[in-house]
Amino acid sequence: MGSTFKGIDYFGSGPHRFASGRRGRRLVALSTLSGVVTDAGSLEFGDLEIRVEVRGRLRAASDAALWVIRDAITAEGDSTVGSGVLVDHHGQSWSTMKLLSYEEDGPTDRGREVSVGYTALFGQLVSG
Amino acid sequence: MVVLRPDEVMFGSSVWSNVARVTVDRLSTRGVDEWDDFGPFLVFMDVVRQRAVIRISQEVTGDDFDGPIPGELDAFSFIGSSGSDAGIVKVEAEAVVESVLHKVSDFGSTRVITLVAVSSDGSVDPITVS
Repeated sequence: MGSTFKGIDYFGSGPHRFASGRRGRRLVALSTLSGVVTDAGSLEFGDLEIRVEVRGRLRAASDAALWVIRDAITAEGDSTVGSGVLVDHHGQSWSTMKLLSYEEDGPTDRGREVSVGYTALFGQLVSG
Repeated sequence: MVVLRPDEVMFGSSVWSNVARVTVDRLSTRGVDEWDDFGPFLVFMDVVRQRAVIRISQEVTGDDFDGPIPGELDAFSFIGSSGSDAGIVKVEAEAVVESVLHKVSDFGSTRVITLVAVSSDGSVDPITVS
C-alpha cells in the first residue's frame, strides 16, 4: 500500500522511507532551570513529542510537474494548516501530525527523469 | 562506440593521421539510487551526471613535437566507413583535451589522446552521429 498524509499520497511519485524520531522522556538539566552550572542532575517534564521523518525522492517527467508535487507538499508546512493522520506503507499511522519541515538534499537532478531527494519531518505537537 | 582506422580525424584545424582507432565511452559520474520500505531491492536508478570520453589511438612513426595540450577546446570529428559510401558515418563533438599519453616500445609508438565532449547546454548529447 502507498503512504498517505491526510489521505493524500504526497510522496508516491518516488520511493520513500519512514523513520521514527527519538522517543522517551523529556529531560531538562537542572542547571538550565536554576542558572547555576554546578547543579547536577535533570528533571523530567512529560514525554518527547513524536517525530517521523520521511526521506525519499520526488520524481516527475518535467521541472514544471515536479514543482506541482513539491508545492503540494510544502503547502502542508504552512503554519496556518492543521494536523492530520500520517500513514506509512505498512498501515502504521500517527494521528494529529503536522508537516514541520520539508528540505531537499541538493539541486534538482535531471537525468532520464527530473527528480530530487528530500527529507520531510512530521511531528505531533503537544500544543495541537 | 569503436571505429577502427577512421578515414579522417580532425581537431579544430589539425588533421590527425595514422589513427588506429577511436573509441567513445559514456560514463556515469553520478548515479542516484533509491530503495523503499517494502524490501531489500533497488527500486529507482537514474544517471544524473554523465561524461562522454573519446580516446584516439594514433600511431607515431617518427619524431613528433606537436600534439594537443590539455584544456584545449575545439571541434572534434572523424569519419568512419564500412568500405562503401552508404556506410559512411560522421561523428562530431565539441571536446576538451584531457590528456595526451605516449606508449613507446621497440615495436612501435602510440599516442593516446583523451578528449571529453562538452554539451552546448547540458541537455543536448554532446556526441552527434550523422
